[in-house]
Amino acid sequence: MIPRLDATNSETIQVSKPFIVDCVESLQVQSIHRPTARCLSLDDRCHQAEVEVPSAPQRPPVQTPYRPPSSIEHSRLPRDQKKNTVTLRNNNISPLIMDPFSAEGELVNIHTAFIQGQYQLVLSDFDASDFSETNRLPVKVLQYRAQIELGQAPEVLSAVSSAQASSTPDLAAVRIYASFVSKGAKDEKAVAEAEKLSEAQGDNLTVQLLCGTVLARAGKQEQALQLLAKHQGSLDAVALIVQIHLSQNRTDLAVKEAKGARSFAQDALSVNLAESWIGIRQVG
Amino acid sequence: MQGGENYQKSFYVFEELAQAPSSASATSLIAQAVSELHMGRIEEAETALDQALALEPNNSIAIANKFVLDTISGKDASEARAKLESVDKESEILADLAAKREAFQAAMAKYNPKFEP
Repeated sequence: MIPRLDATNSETIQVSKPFIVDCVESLQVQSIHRPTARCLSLDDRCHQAEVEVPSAPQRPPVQTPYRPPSSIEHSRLPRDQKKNTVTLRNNNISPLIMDPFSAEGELVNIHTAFIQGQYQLVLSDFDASDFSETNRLPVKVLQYRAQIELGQAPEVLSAVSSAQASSTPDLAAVRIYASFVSKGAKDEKAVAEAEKLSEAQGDNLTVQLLCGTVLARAGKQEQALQLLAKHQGSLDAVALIVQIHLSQNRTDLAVKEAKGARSFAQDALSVNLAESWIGIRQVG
Repeated sequence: MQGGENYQKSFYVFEELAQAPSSASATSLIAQAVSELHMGRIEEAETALDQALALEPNNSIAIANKFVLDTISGKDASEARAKLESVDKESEILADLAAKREAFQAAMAKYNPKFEP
């Protein structure tokens, strides 16, 4: 069977108010139904917002803690019974994540272009100022990474000042990566900085991805994997973990990682790609 | 038939990306070419690699795979190798070749050449 490649469809899965209501109602039977629609839509109001649920005084109080339909931590919708509201805890989700429950639809196109390797397009078709404020930094980071892929690491190094880097961990990671790429694997200073930054800012996704890449390429794969293990449902991190496992000839671990991602990100392009990289390593 | 179902599945994913104008990129073309190489489709692989190199003439991964392709199809691979050396001296395949050469030399050092008259 041919895996379906439908980026626009798979990466804009969002959650809508009906879905939340659905979850709350299903609490009563203490079983969660997966939403029937493939693509639900979560509008901006729902993101990090409390969603009113019509009060239903006859409902019995829910005793058991709510369990999310999937195992991803951030899809949990804790219910505040006093207020009868549901809070969407999205604050830990990095905007780069194309996770089914994320509201970051705005980044879908530029992110898809990036993972498809259309680096020129990432630079020419998108302007950070057209994006909402919270998404501007991820857009800039993707554009810097595209520039680096196109061989313009020195330009990135001069575009990002060290002052910017010291105030924003994402940009610090970009600088380290650019320096490493332009100087090659012998850039011990960049490797040392990557180690330091991953200790101080290990929860930052850009730090995980870029410092993880630097560490892995410098032969410190285990350290890179430890850092990447901190990701919160990021398919980019999963893809990088798969690549590191493949580089270590651990196809078995790569398969396991991709399978885990497939379970929560059905049709995502990154997962299709990761499975295809693995397929090339599996004979028969 | 070389390879198997997994190669074919991967090939379809990469080919779909590489051949659709809206998603085509050197990266996907290279991936398509590598899948084709795995399946023994040398000519098709060469076409895809040439397309990748047309998009990004200095893409070191495309050149590295061109080097592989020229070698396994029995062509003169020195041009691709020289180009790879000029673009990316630390390329994985060059490092690997150097390591293998070293291992071979080390093994050879254990023997004394003896020529019978």
